[in-house]
Amino acid sequence: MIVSLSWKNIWRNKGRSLLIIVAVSVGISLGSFINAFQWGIMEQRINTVVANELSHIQIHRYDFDLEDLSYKPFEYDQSFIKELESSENVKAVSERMILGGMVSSARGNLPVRILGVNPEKEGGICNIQSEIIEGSFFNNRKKNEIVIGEALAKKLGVKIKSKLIIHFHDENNEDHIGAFRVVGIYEKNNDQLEKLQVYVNQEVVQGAKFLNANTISEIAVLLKGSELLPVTLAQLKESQKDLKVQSWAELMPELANSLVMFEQIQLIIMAIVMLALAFGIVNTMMMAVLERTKEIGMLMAIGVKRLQIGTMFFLESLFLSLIGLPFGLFITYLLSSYFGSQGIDLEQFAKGINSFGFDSIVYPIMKKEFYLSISVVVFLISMIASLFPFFKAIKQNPVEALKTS
Amino acid sequence: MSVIETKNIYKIYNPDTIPVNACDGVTVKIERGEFTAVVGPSGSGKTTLLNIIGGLDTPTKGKVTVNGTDVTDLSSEQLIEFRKENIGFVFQSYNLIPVLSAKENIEFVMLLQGKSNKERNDRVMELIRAVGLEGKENNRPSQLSGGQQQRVAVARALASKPAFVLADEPTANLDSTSTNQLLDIMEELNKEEGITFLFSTHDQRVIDRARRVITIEDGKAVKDEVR
Repeated sequence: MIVSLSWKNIWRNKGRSLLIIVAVSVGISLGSFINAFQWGIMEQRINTVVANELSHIQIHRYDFDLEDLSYKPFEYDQSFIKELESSENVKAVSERMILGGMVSSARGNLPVRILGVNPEKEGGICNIQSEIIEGSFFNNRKKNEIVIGEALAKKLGVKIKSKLIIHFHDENNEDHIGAFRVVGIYEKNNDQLEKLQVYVNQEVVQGAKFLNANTISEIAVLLKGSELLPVTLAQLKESQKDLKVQSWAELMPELANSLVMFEQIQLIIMAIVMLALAFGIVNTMMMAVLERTKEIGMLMAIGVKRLQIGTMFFLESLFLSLIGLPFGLFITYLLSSYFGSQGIDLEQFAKGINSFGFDSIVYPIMKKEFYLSISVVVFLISMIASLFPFFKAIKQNPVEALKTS
Repeated sequence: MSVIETKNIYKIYNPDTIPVNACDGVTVKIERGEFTAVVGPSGSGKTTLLNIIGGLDTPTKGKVTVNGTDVTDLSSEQLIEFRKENIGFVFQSYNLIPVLSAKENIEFVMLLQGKSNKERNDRVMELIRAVGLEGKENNRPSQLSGGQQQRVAVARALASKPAFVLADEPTANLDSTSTNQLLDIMEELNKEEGITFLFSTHDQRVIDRARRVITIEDGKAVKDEVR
């Protein structure tokens, strides 16, 4: 009876109730869409990190540090690589020789991380071949060829067929020098990476007299899916105790941490949006209590308990929020579905975004579990907001209430 | 046994600042089946007396027995329950629930009492006929005239089969025709079904129809005339 009366009461002033419902729907959908947009940026960043930079798992010497460009080789067993490649969880494996060095052209020089790679294997583990915008990803395994980023090419004023001088440091920090010809220029939409990372042929590097041909400094492992990461990582950590086996999240903890932070920020944004809406609902419902004071007096007189009257106003407030919720979620679904497939082009800001390693086209992602989180946040805040009219209503004195005009 | 009995009741507002004696030692007895008007000038204390009798307000001093129960001993929640079962209210400005139809307004108290669907329907139709609102049962208050709304209010007051009906200025907002129709209905219910009515009123038309008139002045019952 009280539920039915509450439902009827919210349609007493259709315009006002609809305004609140629309405000709740729009608030929820915009708040959620902002979250979907941010989540899209994060997800793309992670995908970029996995596909272009780190893969799912990397194996190094224990003293390896991602920021340290010095040469940290370890001896490796080809049978282990083959075993990894044949694992059902693994999509591709690439062994890399990593060297720190300085690349010089006639215009200047810059510190770089030199990746000695097997072109076929590297092509299988990252998108490098599709990122080549000029030239190719190596022509001849035996020659001193180098593939560099577009940003580095611009900085050094070089193009295809230009010659670059590279200064290496070996394990003993001794300098070595080599001349390489640019055969490919890649674009990763990440200026920092484009300037830092250059690719050379592994066989050429391993053939250098100062290096041990049986060593590598990194094994990158790409899995068939991110969901396989925990189990594969655990297995590798168990089997390769002499080496440092790390996931992308361990290699870039700041990125992994920012993911956790993003999830929390998403809920905080929704809570702030809902809090603003809750003030609107509280205000409207407090006005409703004032407008209906005489009616509250009458209800108390004819035998309606205070708790029932409070519940009636509580439910009215709750209904207003909860009617808006599904509409808000539906609008969010439509927005995130449309822009999730079409993308939002941030071309005008792209240069700034690219330099931080983010793509210029963002595809908003609304995770399924976030619909539930939003619903819980909206429900809880609505419940709290509904308590204000509840207490206002039950505090009325029937005699005083009946006197109001 | 009296339906209502007040013994020396006092109601003092602002006792610590400027005391106002709204009831000043009122003692009255209302027997079952009476059709009584409480009259007096504005501010004389008649509404306060009715509020105390109806369990909406508590006296500063004195005792009120309604249908054999001392209502001054009841807590506010017990009073709500007591009012629901024993007292029917009719207000000056009808005070119907605007989102409910006439029928739903009448059956509202019975829903609170947990009466069965059949019992509710039978009683509503009986009351609709008694107040002459056949065909209007599905109309909302906004679709009824003032007189019709007040008849719905009377039917609502009677729905729970209360011990008596308290009507505070029930005709104050009605024209002559509606007032006469309403008084005819209440008189008929009083005579034929023995329902006790207690009014507070200024309206001479109501006073003329009352069979007992209690006059209140300055919080005191100064005259009690039985016709």
